[in-house]
Amino acid sequence: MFRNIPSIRLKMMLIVLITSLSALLIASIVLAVYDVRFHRISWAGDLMTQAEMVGRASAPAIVFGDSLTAHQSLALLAVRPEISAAAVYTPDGRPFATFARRPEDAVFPVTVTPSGFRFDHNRLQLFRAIEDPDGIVGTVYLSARYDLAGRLGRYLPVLTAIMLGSLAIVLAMSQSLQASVIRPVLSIARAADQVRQERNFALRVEKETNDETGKLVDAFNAMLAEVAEAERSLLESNRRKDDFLATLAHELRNPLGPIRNATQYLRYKDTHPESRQSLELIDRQVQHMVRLIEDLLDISRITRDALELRLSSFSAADLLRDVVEATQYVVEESELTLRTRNDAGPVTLYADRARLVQVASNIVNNAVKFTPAGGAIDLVLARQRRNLIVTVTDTGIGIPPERLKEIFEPFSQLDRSLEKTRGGLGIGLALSQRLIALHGGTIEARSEGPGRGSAFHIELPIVSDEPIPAPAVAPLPITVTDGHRILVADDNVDGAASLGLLLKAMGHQVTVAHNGAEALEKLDVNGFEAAILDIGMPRINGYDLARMIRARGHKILLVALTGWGQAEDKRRAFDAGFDTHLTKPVQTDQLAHALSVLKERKLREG
Amino acid sequence: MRGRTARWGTGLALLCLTLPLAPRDAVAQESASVLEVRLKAAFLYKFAGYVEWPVGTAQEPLRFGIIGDDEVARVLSHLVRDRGAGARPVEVVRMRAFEPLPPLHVLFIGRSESDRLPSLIRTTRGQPVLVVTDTEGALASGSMINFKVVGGHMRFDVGLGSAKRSGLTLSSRLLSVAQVVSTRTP
Repeated sequence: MFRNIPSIRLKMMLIVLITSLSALLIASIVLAVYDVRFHRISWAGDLMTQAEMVGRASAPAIVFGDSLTAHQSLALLAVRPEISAAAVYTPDGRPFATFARRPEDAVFPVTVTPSGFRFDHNRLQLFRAIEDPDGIVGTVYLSARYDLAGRLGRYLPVLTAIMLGSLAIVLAMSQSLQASVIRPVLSIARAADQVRQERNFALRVEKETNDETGKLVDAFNAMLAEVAEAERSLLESNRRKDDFLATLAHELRNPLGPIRNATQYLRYKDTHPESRQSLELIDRQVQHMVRLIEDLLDISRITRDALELRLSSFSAADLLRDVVEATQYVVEESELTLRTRNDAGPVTLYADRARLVQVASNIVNNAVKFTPAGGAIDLVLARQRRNLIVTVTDTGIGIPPERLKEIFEPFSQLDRSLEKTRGGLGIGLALSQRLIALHGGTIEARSEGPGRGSAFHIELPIVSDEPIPAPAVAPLPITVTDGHRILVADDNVDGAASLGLLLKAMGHQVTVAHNGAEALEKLDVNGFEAAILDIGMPRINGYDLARMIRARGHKILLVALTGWGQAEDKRRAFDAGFDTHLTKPVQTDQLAHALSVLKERKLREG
Repeated sequence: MRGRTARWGTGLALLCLTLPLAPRDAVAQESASVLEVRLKAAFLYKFAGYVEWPVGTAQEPLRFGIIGDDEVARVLSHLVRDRGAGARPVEVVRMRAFEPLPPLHVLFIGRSESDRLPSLIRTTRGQPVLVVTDTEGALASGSMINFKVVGGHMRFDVGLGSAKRSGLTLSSRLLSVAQVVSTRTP
């Protein structure tokens, strides 16, 4: 009955009203019944007296056989409207005189009973013996109707007034009394609502009473404290996990730099065809590994909100070409066909080009993993108003409908048993989804079911009206130059050595230092044109070292080399006096590009 | 005791209700006159219940004196004898004219002594005696209750003035049943 009432205040009021009303009704009914019974009996007693009086008045009439006088005495009863019939009986039980209000009332008992009265419903029948000193001289009989309706009619308005008055008072009193019960409950409800909306677990409800509601307030506050603590520790452990992931990725990537450097050095030096083949294989696998680690880093950056987009303008064709370049090898390796089509036309896109390529490549790589040899993958670009639509369709194993959403969760793969053959960390799609979300777009997986292939549908609001600006500087060709004097400082001995070897292979003269002090010392002695400094060195780090070098007035080219590639890291590098910034593992062409400045300087100076 | 009084009362009432007295034949006429005597005796006795004698006379046995109607005296004696032990003692005295009057509460002068009615009544002057007569116009001679038959029913007139003069108080309830209440004093 109360379930649908949304307010506890209303409920309490109803409860008070209903209980009070019931109590009042019961009391009123009992009172009315008691009153009616009592009143009826006293009324009967009253009539008995009346009968006695009539009897006394009629006694001489009976005694002296004067029925006329007896009739007259009885007729006096007409003043009592409730009396319908009356009679005087002789001692031997014969009617002596009678009175009837209406002709139909003239019904008189045949036998006389001793003094007393009897109610038949509301009809009273009464006998009263008339006595004189010598005994009973006759009996008066009265028949009267008790006016129950009249009595109740007088009673009901009074009862109603009392009931309404009582209810008003009860309501007024309960209003003020129930506040002490309801207020804590209401404040808990308000606080709960506020906590739910603001997620502010520091909120507390003020305790006003020591009863059950007070306990409720205490329990509620204690629960809030627990939730706050749980959330704090959850956030803390999540943060630690993210930190761990970031550190892990970083530490895993560090050794890859020297490995790549060494491989590339060997490729320059060793021209034996079989060795070259092996070196290319190593290079490819290292690149793959670097990509995996980059994905891992990106995921941790995204979860820490540390990922930034580098927006630029480029064409849809650029995107298509980059994706094909990035995936070509894997596609061919898996004996698949990648078909591309640009239905979007010559549109300009404004987005993070590298990230978009990463997304599309991830999707294609994913398709490659789950498509058997001989299959085909379609990559289609289309335009829908300001949206770029990227669709990747494959003829692979497909996705069961119930898993379509799940596949975008990090570290999830459809079939654990496939892990070994398919490989991967299970973060490619998750990362793609986050990157797309960063661009304000959506990704959706569609599949007609297992064995019927799958389709990934990406919508990105990145179509721009601006024409693509012409590149400011034409990229320099990667050539072996005259060679510069370069200092490499890295506490990682292998890293420094491999970079040194690579630079030497490119024709430079390289000196290696393994800490800041050594680097400074060598700089002061020899005239270098450039210094490539690792940031994460013990005691004197790369930033400090750069400041010291600048403080000593060296105007050489300073290149920062770091495992961290964030905008913040770059800003710090430039603040410290670096000219340029490279992220490990460094690519030969990036290195060459960075050092090309030296050639320009030489030309200008020369 | 109460049962006996009730029975007696019932008998008395029965008498009242065997009216009317209107004769229909010889047998009826004879029984009607018997009835009349019994009614008069009963009424005589009942009158005493509606009369208050002056203080000092209440404790004595209630004494009825009857002149000129031996039948009434006989029936009254009979009636009185049957009463219960708790009732007030009653004496019925049969008297003749010229006899000196003994102390009485009620004096009934029968129809046969109608001629000497005034002198008889005069002898009760100054004494608290309820004088009951059976002669038309007796009230004028100082009678206090005078029997008469109206419409075949036994009725009576009351001489309230005479009663007052003798120091008697008649109950208003008695008056309510009386045919005529005369307040004149002869």
